[in-house]
Amino acid sequence: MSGWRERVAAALAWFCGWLVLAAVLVLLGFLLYRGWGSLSLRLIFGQTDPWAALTLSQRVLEGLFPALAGTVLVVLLSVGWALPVGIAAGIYLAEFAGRRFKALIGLCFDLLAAIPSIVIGLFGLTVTIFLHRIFWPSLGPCLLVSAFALGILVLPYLVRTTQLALEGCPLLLRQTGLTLGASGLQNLWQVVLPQSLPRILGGVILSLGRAAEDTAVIMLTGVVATAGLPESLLDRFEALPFYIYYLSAQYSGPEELRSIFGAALLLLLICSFLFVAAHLCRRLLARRWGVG
Amino acid sequence: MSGGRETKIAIQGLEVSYHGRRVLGGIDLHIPRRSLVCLVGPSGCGKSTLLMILNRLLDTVPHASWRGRVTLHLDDGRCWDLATLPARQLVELRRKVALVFQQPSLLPGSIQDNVAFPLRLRKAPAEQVRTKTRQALELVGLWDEVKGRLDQRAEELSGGQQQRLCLARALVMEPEVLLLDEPTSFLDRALARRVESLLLEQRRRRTVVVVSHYSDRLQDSADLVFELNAP
Repeated sequence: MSGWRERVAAALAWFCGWLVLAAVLVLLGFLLYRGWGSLSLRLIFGQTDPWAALTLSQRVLEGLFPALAGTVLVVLLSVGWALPVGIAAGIYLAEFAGRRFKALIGLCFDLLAAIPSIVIGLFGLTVTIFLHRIFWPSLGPCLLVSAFALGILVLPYLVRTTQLALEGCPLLLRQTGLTLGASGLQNLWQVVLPQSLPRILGGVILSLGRAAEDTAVIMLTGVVATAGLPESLLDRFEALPFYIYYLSAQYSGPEELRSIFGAALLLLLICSFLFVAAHLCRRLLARRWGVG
Repeated sequence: MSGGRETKIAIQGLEVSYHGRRVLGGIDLHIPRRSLVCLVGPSGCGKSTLLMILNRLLDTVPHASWRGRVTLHLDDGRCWDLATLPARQLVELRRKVALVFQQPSLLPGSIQDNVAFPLRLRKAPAEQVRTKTRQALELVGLWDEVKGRLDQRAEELSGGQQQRLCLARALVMEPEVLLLDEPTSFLDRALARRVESLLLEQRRRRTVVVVSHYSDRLQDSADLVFELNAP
């Protein structure tokens, strides 16, 4: 009887595992099938010379280059501010916070993670309006506000991953650092954090992906369909997810539809590039520290 | 038993509890300066716990508490009551009272990183780090085995090599008291004898307290054998 149950459970687990893999492969295959044909320098740079576009000496009017650059910029800016804050908050929760405070703050971050991104976008917009009226009249929806709001969106992932990674550090390892004469802070920096870094980077990878794919937040806080390359943090900008959303809602022919799939493929490539970069960092650290 | 020698560590009326349940009680022990003391007793009688009290590492164990008087007489003439020692002095205490766990406990990094860790904490000059690392590895008989691969990850060493690495790491600290929990449990007979000889030799420089189930030689040669009973 128990053997029969085990076989059914194993078969079910096997089926579900392959189902997930199949779903990913079908999605990738479909995107490649529909988007590969349109993937070209022309899709990115339009009629503009790629070198002139990259050196910013000529504007790209038809291609996806502004959206591509806008996506990379907003992702790097948002993760750039959320990363130190999130890791520091995670360290505080894991190492220094009292039991009750930790439970309370942990619950707050879990709630923040559960808030729909459109609400985060609305919050970003509200903060912008408040600042615009009271302190900063020239401020409007822009790259800076989008990066701020997206940072809030990914903050819970960074905090929780850091906290769990540090709390997962074995007691014996913590005791080893202390018994060799390390102070609490030295033990944290030289023993516990290096041991936990690969897992923390896992959270960074998740955050990069989450920031790159989100449309709702940036839609309310600074992205537009045509803005060109932003010249400052206070400029509006273009982004691939919004381009896909915007054009999907009102495409006028097969040419535009192909470019939507091309944009989707580009977004996937950017995410893959960021994932691979973060993964390589993780492997490098794991090899350097002998962990992970 | 101590032969009238000066006391290094004095323990009086020590009691330890986990989750409020007493696991060690009524311990009175005087450990002479520059001696080798063996702690013996059945599994679970609190030998490792007693070691962790001597450098206040028990503070890091959740739900553990202890009371009693434990006094450490330092070589510079100071005398510390460990029960009331302020947290800011714990780093100094642990640099003077080194502990080697039974389970090899490696830090992230290379063989060199591991042995040099206590020296780098004290910002020792690079030349001193190199020299002392080599001396410590030679003492535990590991130098010839690892001299060409000091940058290799420490976790790639065998269990016995890891155990000797941890011993070398404690020796570079040049502590006044060396606490060891089953230091030969991962070693073959020849290596175990080498480590035993090293510990017997070390008692001329520092106080050595060893938990040892397996080594009759250490128990026979110890200045004091203290037997703990099951709670």
